[in-house]
Amino acid sequence: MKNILNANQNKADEIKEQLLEKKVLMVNIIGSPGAGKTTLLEKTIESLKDTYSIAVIEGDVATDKDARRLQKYDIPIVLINTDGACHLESISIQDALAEFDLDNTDIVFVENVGNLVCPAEFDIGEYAKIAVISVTEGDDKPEKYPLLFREAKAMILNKVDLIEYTDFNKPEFDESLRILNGGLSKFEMSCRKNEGLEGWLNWLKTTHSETTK
Amino acid sequence: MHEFSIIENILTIVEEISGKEGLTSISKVSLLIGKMRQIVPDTMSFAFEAAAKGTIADSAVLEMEFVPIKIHCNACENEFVVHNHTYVCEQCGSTDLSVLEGQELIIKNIEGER
Repeated sequence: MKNILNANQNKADEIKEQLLEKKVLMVNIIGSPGAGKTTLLEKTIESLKDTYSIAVIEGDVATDKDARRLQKYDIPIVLINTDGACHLESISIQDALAEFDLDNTDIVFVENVGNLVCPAEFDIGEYAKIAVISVTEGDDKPEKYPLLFREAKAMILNKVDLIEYTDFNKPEFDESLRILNGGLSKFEMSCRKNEGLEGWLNWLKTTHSETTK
Repeated sequence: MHEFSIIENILTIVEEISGKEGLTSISKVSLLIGKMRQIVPDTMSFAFEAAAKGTIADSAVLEMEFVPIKIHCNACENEFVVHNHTYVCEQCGSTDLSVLEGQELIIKNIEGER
């Protein structure tokens, strides 16, 4: 009997220990391409950067486009190009974290590769997985990708300003989340319009203070 | 597509064990896979066939046994098996649950010749 992902898990456990010791909250942001992960990060950083020291790990299959969007905030950013791989693994996260001054960092955001399947499978040592989904993707995503929504501690429903132009069935969506993960924290917002982020920002603040005591 | 990463991990472990045990060829690799893992058996077999070419497991058979998702209800202590990803206690309706089984990703057994 041998655990197949032991190599990844051992590194992830090391990272967890290190972050606990350094009092850093790390969240792993997972969602489809185009769900609004980078826009969420932009708005979140704008709101929190005066109060918290923030660092970002950007996972991308190719290009530095997302990382460049965040450069304007003058915060530490490490870009991981996975060269085709569909998710981040703990070994590359460990290398990325080594680039940060963790003694003076409060929150690390990891933007995972745009994908609802594989990133949910690999522990990278984060405190919480955050599922990001937009109303234009449809209300059936929790049912289709149960592992992510089961493993996530929080879920962001983005682009709610567009809901009237879609067939998104909100009651069905809520019900599928309830039966998958009753303890999930849920937030609805429009990142582009910078509306409805308060609940999410408060969750981050509370989670930061609770996990870094 | 995480099947490919998983297969790579499997082959690394198979080669390690073969080295340790002095095996020269592998005939079968048996896996235990929890149903939470979203593993597609066909993709898994395809990835294994492709990645094992030229390795010690070149002609090995990949056997997969799937483990049901078993849950303990923290509210009423009921234990049950999850169907259709419904994580709600069948007895009391609580969603405060612990997963007992179904997250496995384990090499159960390797067969080969010395």
